[in-house]
Order: sequence, then structure tokens, then C-alpha cells
Amino acid sequence: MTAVRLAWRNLGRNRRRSLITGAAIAFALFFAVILRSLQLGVYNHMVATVVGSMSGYVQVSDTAYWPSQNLDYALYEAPEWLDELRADRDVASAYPRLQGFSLVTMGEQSGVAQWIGISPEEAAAPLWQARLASGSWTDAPGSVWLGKRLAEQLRAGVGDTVVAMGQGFQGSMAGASWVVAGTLNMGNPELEKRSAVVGLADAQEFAGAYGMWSYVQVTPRRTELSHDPTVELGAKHPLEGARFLGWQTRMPELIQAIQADSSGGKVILFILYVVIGFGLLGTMIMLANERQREFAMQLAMGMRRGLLAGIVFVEVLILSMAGALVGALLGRVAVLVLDRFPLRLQGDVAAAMEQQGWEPILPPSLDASITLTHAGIIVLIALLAAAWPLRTVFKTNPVQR
Amino acid sequence: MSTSSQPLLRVDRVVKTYESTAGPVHAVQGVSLDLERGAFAALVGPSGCGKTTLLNAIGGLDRVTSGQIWIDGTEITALGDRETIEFRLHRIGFVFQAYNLVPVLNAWENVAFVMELQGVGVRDRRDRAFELLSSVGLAGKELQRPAQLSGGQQQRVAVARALASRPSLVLADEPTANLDSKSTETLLDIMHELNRQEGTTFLFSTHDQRVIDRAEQLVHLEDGRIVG
Ligand SMILES: Nc1ncnc2c1ncn2[C@@H]1O[C@H](COP(=O)(O)OP(=O)(O)OP(=O)(O)O)[C@@H](O)[C@H]1O
Ligand SMILES: [Mg+2]
Repeated sequence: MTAVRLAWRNLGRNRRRSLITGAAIAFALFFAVILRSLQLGVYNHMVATVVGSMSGYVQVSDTAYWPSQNLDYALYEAPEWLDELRADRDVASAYPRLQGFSLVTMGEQSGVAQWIGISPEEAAAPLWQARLASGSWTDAPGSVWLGKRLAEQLRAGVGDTVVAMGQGFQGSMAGASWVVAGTLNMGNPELEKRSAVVGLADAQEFAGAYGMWSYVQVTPRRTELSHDPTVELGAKHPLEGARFLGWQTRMPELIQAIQADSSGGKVILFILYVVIGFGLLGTMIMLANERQREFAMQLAMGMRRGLLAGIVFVEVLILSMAGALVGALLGRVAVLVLDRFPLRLQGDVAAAMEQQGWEPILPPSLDASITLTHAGIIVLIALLAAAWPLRTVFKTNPVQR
Repeated sequence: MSTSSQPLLRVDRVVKTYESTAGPVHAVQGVSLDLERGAFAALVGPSGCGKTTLLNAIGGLDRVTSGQIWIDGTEITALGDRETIEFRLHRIGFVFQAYNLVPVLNAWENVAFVMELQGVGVRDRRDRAFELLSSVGLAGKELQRPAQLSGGQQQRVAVARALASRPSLVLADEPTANLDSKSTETLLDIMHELNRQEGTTFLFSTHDQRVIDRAEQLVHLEDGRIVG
């Protein structure tokens, strides 16, 4: 009889208790996984909205580009390096951009715009396609797509010509006239008020920054909060004079807000674990008391304490792992269902979110490490509770009374 | 060191004093006794006279306060913890009054349990366990769990198990205390038979007259001392 077999049979001797204990573990994990996935999912959603499409999860720019974001600190185009970066299986997309600020006018109307030169590949991506509020995407040089609110401010429609003026590369004058090819829903009122999107080549010509990029916007394959590939990508694809910056570095306020909110969720989970932990401890104390005489008999027979302790340990390990497995599977299924049919917010909160350009949904994070982490925590708690019967094994004398 | 002229068990001036909150309890106060190989002996005396204490000391389950105990030429009172466990495992069989069996193991597995701890292969364990169970009259009950056996049958499994490792000495502390007359008779018959056939030495404690009548040698204990 190996320790495992005895442990397994011991689980069967009070089947109802084993089931209830396993179920408690499964439920706790299920709850923890859903709670944490939703919470982290909201952060992912927030980050995706704020940085995902615009400034990018990771930016590659001249070492001096941040924080001034000055056009003068542009990079020389490096198409071979870009191809290599794009071929990396951890990279979902990498798009070079050139951007700066200018005055945009049409007739009597004027506004300050952030012009962004995007490559044809980027314009073809579904994200930009979906943003089109009116007009169409075209390859025609000299086209501009204005943020919806900027277009309203300028009273410009598709087919109108706007004039842009500003400072170009290294003190040069920048000026051009562009034909409005479309207007854009930027998903954020602020961006809609100031965005003017043009082709990368037009932007380079406008600013006199021929053959230059402000930065390359990189979207990694995995965008979960727990996974920051910036350093790794930077090490794999070094570019002379440039550095890789994650959004976490560029927007410390955002990560701080997330961390502050996240601690609230952790407190709830901590309370849950304390409750479950004491429940498990109670079960373990019962188990230890029930078996003390049996322990004594086995010790008298000549069984080593280590082996006896091993049996108890394996027993608790099997029970907690089985419970954790069930909880993890159920939690995972629930998360996938919530991903497919996300919880949708209603009322004022939803309206406020939409105002800010967020879809008012609570998409869960699909990060499997959430499940693994919490499964690990709960198994560990069960094993800590097992310290009680283990202590009993080591305290019991082989003398029967 | 083992020679046939030596007694199998020698207890020499053993003292066991428990320290309790109410002061020291002198449970065994200088007991000396010898048992020859093949003895079928009973330790008798009123409740509290020190029978269990003495048996525990002989079985190496508890340390003595002073004195020496030799079993088969080995001074077990001089052994370390680990050696005591080893010695117990290979040389002594135990039968207790109750809680003898592992509830999750069936009859033959309970018998084989000690052999497994000794590292005997599974086939040999099984064969010997079945053989022993049939010698205690439990052929056909090998696969029953303890809960499915009567008290007397459980004690017979315990006797079979005590003999599994072919020990020099079997110690039984009131093995019949929970049994009715018929089961007691059966158990005694079986133990006596095994004692005769295999030459195993038995020492049991009891205050049961039926057991006392069957014993071949009696050791009377009173207040932790041998009397008579
Ligand atoms: N752990 C202990 N601590 C203190 N005193 C003890 C302890 N164990 C036993 N005693 C005392 O030692 C004496 C002998 O006890 P023991 O159990 O050996 O008696 P016994 O002859 O087996 O009695 P019974 O026939 O009732 O089983 C008793 O007075 C008992 O109270
Ligand atoms: Mg007793």
C-alpha cells in the first residue's frame, strides 16, 4: 500500500465530508477566478481603450523622444528592423507613425490639431476601418481624416480642403493643404476634437521629415496586465539610438490608478480566503481527532511518523487539488462565457463611460495566470490547514489508552 | 547473542514513574520476570496495577524510568528511537484491546500492513496474509473491511497481523475485554494453537477469569509489584 493508496481510501471513509470540503475549495476558487478576471478585465479594457489604439502598448522611439514628444527627436526609418519586429511571434502589430501639432483652418474656422501620419497598413487595419464616421479610406495623396468634433468645429465635410500650418522638422516651416476624405469616431471626445490623420508619406512631406518616424507603435500578442513584454522585445530587437517604452512607463498615473483599485479587490479575496482557511482548519482538526487512536496504533505497529504524515499530506493534497481543479474549470468556463456575453452596464455609468469613449461592458480578463495563481493560493491554504493533523501525527505517542 | 539457554524475555527491576500534575505516579515499582521461549503467559491483577504500563515498556512503546528489558538477547531499553521502531517492527507483534485495525484496509491488507512496512513483496504478503487469516478461522473474509467484521473477528485479524512478521514475542493488552464468552474462547483457542504450532511466545494482560484459566504461566501484579 503506497501512501497514495491509503490517502485515497481515507478520502473515501467520510465521503460526504470530503465532498463538502472539496466543494468549498472549488467554490472559493470559482468565485475568486470570476471576481479577479472581471476586475483585471476592466483594467485591460481601460488600458486597451486608453493606449491600445493610440499611443500603443509599447512604443519604440528615439531615446530623447519622451517625455517631450518633440518632432525633432524622430527616428530614421528602419524597414528591415521593422520587418524583423513584425515577424516576432509575440508581436501582433507594429506600425510606424510620424506626428506633431499644427494649426488647421478652413475659411474663417480654425483649430489646433494633432496630426498623425499612419502607414497604409495601419489604415487598412480593422480598428481604423471601424472608426470611419463618414467618407472612406483612400490611398490618394493629400487626404486627411478629421476627428468628428474637429470637423464640426471647422465646419468641414468630405471633399472640403483644409490648410495645415505649423513647425516642421528642425525648425522648418510646415504647411500643406489636405482634402477631407472622411471623419472619424475616435472613441474619446478629446481625441475627436484634435485628431487629424494623414498618410505617413504626406506627414513626412508636411513636416519635412523625410524618411523619419516619430515612433513605432507596437501591440504585443498578449496584452494582459500581468504580462509586460517591453523589456524582452527591446532585448530581442535592439535599434540603435532607440528604446522600447511600455505604457506603464509612459503613463504612470494609469498604472497607479489600477493598482489602487486592484487592492480593493485583493482585500475581498483575502477575506474570502481567511473564511475558507478557517473552515478547512476546522475540518482538519476534526480529522486529526478522529484518527488519533489509529495513528497511535499504526505507530505502535512500527510505521514511521514520516510515512504517516505523508499519507495525511497526500490526502489533503489530493482533496485540495481535486477541488481546485473543479473550481478552476468552472471558473474558466464562466470566464469564457462572460467573454462571449460580457456584462453590460446600464444607466448613468454606462452613459458616462460611453462619453469617455469606452464601450460600457465588463469584459473578463482571459489571463490563465489568474486561475493558476488562485488555484495555487487555495491549495497552499489547504496544506497550511493540514499542518494541524500533521502536528497530531508528530505529537501522538504509540501508546494506547 | 541469542542462545537457547537464555529466557526469551527478561525484565530486570523495571521502574516506571509517571509525572502527573498531582505528583509522581509509581505505576511499576521494580518488576523482574523471565519468560521462556514458547511461553503462554498472562499478566493479571486489578485495574490500575500497572499491566498496560509494563506491556508498553516491554513492547518499546514507552520508556522505562529505570531497569532493563531484554528480548531475545537484545537490550531494548538501551536502543535509540529509530532502533526501537525497527525492533518493534520485526520482532514484536501487538494486539490491543480496541482500535486494532486500519479501517480503510480490508482484512488481508491489515494483516499485510506490517509486512509491507518491512518491505516484503506484494505476492508474498498476500499469500502469507491469506494463510494467516485461514489459520485464525477467517478464510473467506479476506476482503471484508473491519466495519464488516464482528468484534471477535476483528481481534482474530489483529492476532493474524501480530503474527505476520513472525515475531519472537506477541504482546496482547486485554485482547478479550470487548468480547463475549464464545468469541473469547475462540480467540484463546486460536492463540494457543499458534503458540503451540509456531512456538511464538505470548504475553497478555487480563483480568478475565476465562483467560486466566487458559494461561500456562501467570504473573500477578499488584500496585506495580509482582506478588505471590
Ligand atoms: N500517562 C500517565 N500519566 C500518569 N499516570 C498514569 C499514566 N498512565 C497510567 N498511569 C497510572 O499508572 C497506573 C497503572 O496504569 P495502567 O494503565 O498500567 O494500569 P492497568 O493495570 O493496565 O489497568 P487496567 O486493568 O484498568 O487497564 C495507574 O494508577 C494509572 O492511573
Ligand atoms: Mg490496561
